[in-house]
Amino acid sequence: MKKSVKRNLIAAAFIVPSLFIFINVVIIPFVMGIVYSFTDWDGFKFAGSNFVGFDNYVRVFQDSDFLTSFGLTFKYAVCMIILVNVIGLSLAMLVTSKIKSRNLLRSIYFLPNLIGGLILGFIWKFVFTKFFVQVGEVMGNSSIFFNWLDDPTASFWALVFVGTWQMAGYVMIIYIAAIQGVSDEVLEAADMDGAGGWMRFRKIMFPLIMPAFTISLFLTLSNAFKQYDTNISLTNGGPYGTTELVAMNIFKTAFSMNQYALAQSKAIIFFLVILVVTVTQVVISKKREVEQ
Amino acid sequence: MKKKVGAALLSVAMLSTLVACGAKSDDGANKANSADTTSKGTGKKAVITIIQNKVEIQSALEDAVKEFNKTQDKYEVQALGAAGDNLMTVLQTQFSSAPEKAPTIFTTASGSEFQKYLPYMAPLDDMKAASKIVEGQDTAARNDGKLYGLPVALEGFGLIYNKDMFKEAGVNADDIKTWDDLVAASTKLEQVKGVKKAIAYAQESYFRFMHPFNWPFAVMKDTAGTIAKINAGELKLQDIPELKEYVADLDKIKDHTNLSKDTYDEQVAGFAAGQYAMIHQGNWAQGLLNDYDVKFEYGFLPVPFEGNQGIAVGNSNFFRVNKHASEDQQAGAKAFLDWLLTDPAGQHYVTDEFNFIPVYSGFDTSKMDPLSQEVNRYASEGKTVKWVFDQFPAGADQEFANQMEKYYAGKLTGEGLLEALQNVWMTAVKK
Repeated sequence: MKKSVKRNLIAAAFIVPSLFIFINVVIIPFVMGIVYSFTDWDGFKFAGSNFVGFDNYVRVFQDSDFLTSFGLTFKYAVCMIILVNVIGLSLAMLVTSKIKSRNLLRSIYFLPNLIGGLILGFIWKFVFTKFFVQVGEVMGNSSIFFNWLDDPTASFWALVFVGTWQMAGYVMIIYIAAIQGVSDEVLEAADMDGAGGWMRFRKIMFPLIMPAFTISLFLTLSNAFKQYDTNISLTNGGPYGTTELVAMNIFKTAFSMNQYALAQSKAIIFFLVILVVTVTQVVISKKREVEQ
Repeated sequence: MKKKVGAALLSVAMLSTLVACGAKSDDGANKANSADTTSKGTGKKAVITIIQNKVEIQSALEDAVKEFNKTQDKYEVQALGAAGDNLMTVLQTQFSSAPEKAPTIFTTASGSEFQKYLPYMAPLDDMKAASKIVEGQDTAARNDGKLYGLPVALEGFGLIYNKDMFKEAGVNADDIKTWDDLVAASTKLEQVKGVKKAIAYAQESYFRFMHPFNWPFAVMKDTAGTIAKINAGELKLQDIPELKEYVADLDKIKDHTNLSKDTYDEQVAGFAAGQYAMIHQGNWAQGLLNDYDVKFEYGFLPVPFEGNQGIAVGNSNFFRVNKHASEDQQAGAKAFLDWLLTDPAGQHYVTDEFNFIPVYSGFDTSKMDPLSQEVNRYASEGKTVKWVFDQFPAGADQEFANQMEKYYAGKLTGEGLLEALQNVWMTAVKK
């Protein structure tokens, strides 16, 4: 009896502070945000705002810029999920193989993740607008080395490229942990049964590291949807507003257009969409996990 | 056993940090409160905070604040970090959470920003500096006859040109009277060695759209009336003769410009390095030009749209005092601004350190920098056009600039540009 009280107390000491902070900085603002989205709040005092029902939500769906940037964000998320996980997994396979410089390579691949998204964006902006142009001038008419941020399509791929560069090293770590968790006995058994490299990966390794897929896909998906810092520092929505992802659209609605309540409704819709997409993804990938 | 001790220690450590945080924030609140109330009796100083958007004067402002604090012991002025383009965002969050804790002195533009923050501004009619404002420069800060802001500085923009390069190319700046003259001069200037393009615009939304589009609106007979008609939907941009002519002129000069691809920094750097013969900029670029240690002579040239011979002069930035600050803070804010704008010790900072062109009588303007002197010269000769871009719909500058970018990229014709601008304008008005 005494022991369990003590244990509960210790647990409470850990949980209560975090819970307190979480409620204050997440739950309460979130609930307030829902309320704001139904009013004509002007960004200053809430008192004096009028209840307008679903007006803001109706306007959100009439806002073609918002719908465009939502479409773009979906495209971005799909590209990111595929590229980040394929590259992350390949890197993980590489550095868990018997290659000699594997420890060095691990650090190198993980390094971009240590740089903040804003700085990363500025660095690559320099590369795309200055370095690429210089190289292009030296090499003559080049189809790769031109100012990527000048062209809507290339700008989009620049965003994907930089995002992948940053994120791949991170999911690599997750995959490394999963790969190392696969017991050698199972793999040896597969070898004995005469499975080749590809067969061994597809039938044994792949199902066993499925939990890592669940978590990596979730992380990539939610990160891609929420992308803001690289977006603002690398392209700032340009050229002419063609690479504006949803988070940036919401921020601009609030702080440039002074449409606080409308931005709040956009944010709520944004939240619901991410919620549905990520939960679906987690449920689906969970089903495919197998016990080792 | 050891584990338990560790856990207990950890939780104690966590709790103590929490308590420490709590104590700290309490302290902060007390400080702010004490600034409100206790300065009357106990001799504690009222804390006055100032925030402004001009990054280039920040360190000089901090020096000015230090000097002011030395001259008296009633107030303690603190310069908050310069917010630059983010000032509106910063102010918004501060005023929406607790107006009484927001900065005591802040700057906003006239027009829509003035209207938005008007509920937070104290009237300043009783100030010493208010009586010294140059005639006509305070109208934009008045509401119902009361003065709600002190102009920060007179500013002018036009084409800053490289005088030495003009000589080299054999172009006489005084001969540029029409747009065709400008185009012809550009062709000549591009023959000079090292010159990439004759004219450079910067890519920030104000430099890409708002300032360049000030010209067609400013030379109209009835700017305010025209803008009112556009807002009401009675007139379209593509039907206004001045705008039609302006985009036709843009078409003519387009190939002689950098297509507005440089940042402000790169644009001025390119000018300093002799890659551009002219830049579309204002006298605020002086600070940057000083940094680059420019060896050639330079001056202002009017943008000769419809034979215009003036540069655009105005002041859109005003010091405001927070109405919700305590009485002591407000008094201190006024004392500081009066010191800065009327006391010779403060005035020294305004002209010599901030490189501002004063909007107040009683300044010694003999030591002003070259660009400021040029603006002063144009202003005194009456060769000016007004700043009207602050009457464009609020919050749409980025959208406008996006359309300009599209135009420069060749995705829009001149007519298409006007149509696109019209759409942006109307959406911004409806919101």
